[in-house]
Amino acid sequence: MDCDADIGATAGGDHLAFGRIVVAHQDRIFAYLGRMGLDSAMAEDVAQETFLRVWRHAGKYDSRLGSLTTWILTIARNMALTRLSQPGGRRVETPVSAETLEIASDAPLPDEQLVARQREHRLQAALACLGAADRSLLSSSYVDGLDLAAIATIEGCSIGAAKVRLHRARQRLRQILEADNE
Amino acid sequence: MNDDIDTWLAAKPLAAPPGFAARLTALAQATPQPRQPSRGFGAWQWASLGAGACFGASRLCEFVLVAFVAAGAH
Repeated sequence: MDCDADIGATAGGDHLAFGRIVVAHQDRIFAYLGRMGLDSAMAEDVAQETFLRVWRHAGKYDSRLGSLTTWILTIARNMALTRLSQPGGRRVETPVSAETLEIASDAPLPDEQLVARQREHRLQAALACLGAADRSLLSSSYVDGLDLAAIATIEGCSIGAAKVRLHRARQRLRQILEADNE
Repeated sequence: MNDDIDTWLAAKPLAAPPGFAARLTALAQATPQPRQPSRGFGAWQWASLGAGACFGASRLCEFVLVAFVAAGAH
């Protein structure tokens, strides 16, 4: 798939080329926004705004400054951070107890499944304790096909700074989880 | 613990809802793209404008000088 050709066509008003860009990037954007801690409704809003911005400003994309994925993720990051900084924009993660999970479930969950879900909720809650910028950094580091240089471009910092911040964010996340275990 | 973090973050917690791309494509059709602003003057354009102005000024000076000399001769 030649996304560079598609973004050129999008800049010229070709909505089918734009559709191909959305199809090629939508899952990565949603996964990134989900890791950022946005719920599905807010993630859909932010993803929609992101892609519409891509449509409107396709002519401003410069392949010399980074890949199309990097450019779209940078827009998504800025949109998500803006949304999270607005009043009521912050998604509050509340750890879910085993009892709640048992009540909420239709069928009794096997112990292993229950433990896995509890662990997932603990991780979500721990992620919510990190700053939005650190969550963004962690999230982008798990996007397929992004190297450290691309992550640094998205985060607007040097490669060295991205490396250090990533290490610290993971360390902080581990500390939160360990404190939660005690 | 690291494995847990990696497993959860590597998994995709959210996926695009069905029909998202089609909906956005339709939305894009209804959303006008802003007209690209015309590019500013390039260096060569400024240079040719300057050269044209100099040429025009020199012709004007020449005209004034000729008119002055002609007036003096009379």
